[in-house]
Amino acid sequence: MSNVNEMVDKLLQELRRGTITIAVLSQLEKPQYGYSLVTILAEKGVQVEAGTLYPLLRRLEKQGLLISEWDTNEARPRKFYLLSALGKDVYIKLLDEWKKMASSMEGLINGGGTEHGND
Amino acid sequence: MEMIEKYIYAVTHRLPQSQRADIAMELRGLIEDMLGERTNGGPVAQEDVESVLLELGHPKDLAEKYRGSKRYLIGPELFHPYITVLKIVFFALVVAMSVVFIIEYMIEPRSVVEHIFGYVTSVVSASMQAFVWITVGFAIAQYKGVAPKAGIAEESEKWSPSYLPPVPDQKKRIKRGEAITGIVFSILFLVFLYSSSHVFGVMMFEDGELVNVIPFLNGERIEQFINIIYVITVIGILKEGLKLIIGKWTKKLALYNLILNAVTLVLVAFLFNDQAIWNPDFMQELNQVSKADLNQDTYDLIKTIWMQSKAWVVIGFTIVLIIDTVSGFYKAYLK
Repeated sequence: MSNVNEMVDKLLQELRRGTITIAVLSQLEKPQYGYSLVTILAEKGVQVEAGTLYPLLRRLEKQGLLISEWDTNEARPRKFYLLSALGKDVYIKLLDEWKKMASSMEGLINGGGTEHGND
Repeated sequence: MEMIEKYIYAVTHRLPQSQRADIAMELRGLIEDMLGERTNGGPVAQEDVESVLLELGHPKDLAEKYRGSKRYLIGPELFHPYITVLKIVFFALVVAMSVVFIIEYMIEPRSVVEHIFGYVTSVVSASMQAFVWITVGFAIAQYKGVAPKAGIAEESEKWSPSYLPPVPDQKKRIKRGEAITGIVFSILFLVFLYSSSHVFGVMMFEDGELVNVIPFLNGERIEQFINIIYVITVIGILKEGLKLIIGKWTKKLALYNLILNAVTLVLVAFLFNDQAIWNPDFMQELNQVSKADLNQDTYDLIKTIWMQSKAWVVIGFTIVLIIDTVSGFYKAYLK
């Protein structure tokens, strides 16, 4: 049994890696700092470790999808992230693809395999 | 809290200088946020800090995520050729040293313990040297990105199936055996020059027993030049290592080959054009040992051969290296 769990864990990790990016982009129309994002995502059922999310935010910023700004007005300085113009475009396209993929997967899993492509 | 600062330092000192301050500030904020959530704004206990840091995970892992890539001294794509070169070099070293050991034993069977001791120490020390240099060489190759993907990376970023390089012609492929032979020869070159004063020469047999060796080379001189000999050997192994890594003749490899061969040639010429490197008493010793058997004609003949072969060593090296270089370019440009 532990073998099954191990395998599932491993594959799930790979599966999550791709979806986390979409999850993050979906929440950044308004500026958020890292930990608030962890909380929001957790509330909506997407568990992301801070240790994964913080580096990811940085990477997305480097790729030009996010812009960031330090807010030093409050007691605790925080780095806020926000979708860039490019990030918005990318997110919209990505969302499209995600929906297609989700419905294809749905078809595959429920339809037993042959239905897809007959319609 | 001291532990928090220790943790932040443990992460950031593994990161590029330019990002350290920013990430440190970000992490400090994150840890405070996590603590705040845990204690609901109440006083923070040591256990809270510990559990937050445990949740963030090992500093090394976190730093790795920030870097986005793992760092290797010798990465997976180079590891296999690295091990191959190590194996070949060790094997060649042991074989060459064993030959030297056997010859030494035959010359002086009585001091066998001494020979065994010398044999073991020289195998160990030579292996250490080889290990260090090969590792350094491969680490540099890793750092400079001399990876096997060179074949495709040479082309532009846009890729189309028509860019696929042809399956290397049988003639372009570098056979492992070829590289292995090259390394073995480099090692033999080193070991025989190194022990030149007592095993590399004309062997005199009496009743089927080896009684004396008249060395070709001047041992003292060799000792002075030992560093040059090391360099020649290292270059030889480096060259074969590159061949093993790249696997087929490319323009880049042919160029490397040219450069390394040129350096080798310069060093070899420098070494052997110095007349003092040859055993100055060679003819005399030969004459002495076989006094009875040599008449004037034979003596003259041997002398001529001796004088000429000195010159021919450099010429021979030159020819071999030129052929090697040209054939490299020929194979690289072969369609």
